[in-house]
Amino acid sequence: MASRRRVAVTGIGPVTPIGTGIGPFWDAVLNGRSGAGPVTAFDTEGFSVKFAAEVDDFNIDDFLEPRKSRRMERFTQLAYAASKLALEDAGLDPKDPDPERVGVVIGTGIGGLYIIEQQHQVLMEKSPRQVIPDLVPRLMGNAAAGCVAIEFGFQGPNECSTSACASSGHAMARAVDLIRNGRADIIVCGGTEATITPLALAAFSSARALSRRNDDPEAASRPFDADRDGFVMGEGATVLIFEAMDIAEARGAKILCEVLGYGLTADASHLVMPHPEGTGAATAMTIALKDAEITAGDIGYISAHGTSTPLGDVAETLAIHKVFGDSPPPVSSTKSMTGHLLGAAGSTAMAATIKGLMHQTLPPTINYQTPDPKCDLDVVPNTARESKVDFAINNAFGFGGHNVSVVVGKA
Amino acid sequence: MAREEILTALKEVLVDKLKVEADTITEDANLFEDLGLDSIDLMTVVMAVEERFSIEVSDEELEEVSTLGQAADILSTKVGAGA
Repeated sequence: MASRRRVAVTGIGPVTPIGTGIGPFWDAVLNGRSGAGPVTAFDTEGFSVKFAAEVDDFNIDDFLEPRKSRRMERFTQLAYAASKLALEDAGLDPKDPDPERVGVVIGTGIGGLYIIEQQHQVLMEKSPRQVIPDLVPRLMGNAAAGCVAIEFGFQGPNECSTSACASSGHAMARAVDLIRNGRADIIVCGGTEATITPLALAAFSSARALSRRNDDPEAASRPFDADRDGFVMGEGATVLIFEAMDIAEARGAKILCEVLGYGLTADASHLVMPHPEGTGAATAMTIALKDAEITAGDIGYISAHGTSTPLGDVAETLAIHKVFGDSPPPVSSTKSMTGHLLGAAGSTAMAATIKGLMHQTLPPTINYQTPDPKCDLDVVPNTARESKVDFAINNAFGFGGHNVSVVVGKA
Repeated sequence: MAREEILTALKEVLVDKLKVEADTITEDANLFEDLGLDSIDLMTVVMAVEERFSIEVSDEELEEVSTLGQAADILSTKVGAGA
């Protein structure tokens, strides 16, 4: 078999509750900072959950002129800003590469929910004739990928993966394929989400999926801790530049890490509950290792999906033991800091994973106080840790039973 | 009087909703070529003015419009013509 085209990561653009831009983001991870706090986007009177992890002080005008952003909903704005930051981090002038060889794959779990809520109110309280004419292109999940291509002129493959909280995992996997099979040289890939809205907060609360630790938001996201009681809604976008190794080397780009393989599976068991044995997740990791042509023993760090839900963290622990045996490598969940960015969760955790590889330092799981015997893992509790790590694996799972694992290696 | 009011309303929508630079807006400016509007932008403008002045504009009437001044002319004939 002919050798495969290798895939490098050359840029990282996080716009997250703990930092915008890779410098501030990584600094927050190293210092174990939480991005959670009382919701400021709207009045939470009457809501059982009153906090979330918002991207503070985000203003699209800092990134793009108002005329061009007028049809961008917040999730698209975040994705645009993250793409711009990622391109800058990659030292890539958007005008330089052949535009037909640059694609965009940006996933989102939900898309433009806020504008749907707002316009539904117009429909019910005013008149159908007052519904804005650009509602559809604003709310559609693929608006982010479309707008990024429009603004930067990238004419290659362009799509949006939607698999709930695995969306950006699928975007990364798709980007690997598009580069490996020669359909593109560069893929601007990742995920975005901005659904801290009344309807979404109410719905996730009703589902009892969220932590109710209203009195201490920063301590609410506590993956693998015995006292975890649900996830913390987050928002944000993280976009990465995946680039064919030959192309990246030819332009003298700094190679941040190599993407070695991925695995995709479905639990095929339940719409929202993870498979109780974690079999689908385990198989995704096993397939990813095989695709990367390494073994479980080579992995030095596992970036867990670890949302801080009672069931999810146990299922992931079981899955990790299935693949890595009794003594798996260190595992941490950056959701303890960022909250759960849903469609942007996988690429956001990947940003921390890549920096971890680059600096040989593992991101911590903060708020870890009481071990849960059902989550018997080394979770890198509370403090970042220096550690030799050549290969890491990043998990993203989603409602619907989607499992994505992506393996990366030190440059 | 009505025309001036409508012109002001049109400018407001162009600036506030469509983020057009205020100093580029003149009566003779072509909405599409000079101000960069597209068909959806035009609908946004028309809807805002329709609501504010309780008037209705048909697709056929809109086809006649290419400048801001023309838009103000057509819309002002409607105001007071029975809503």
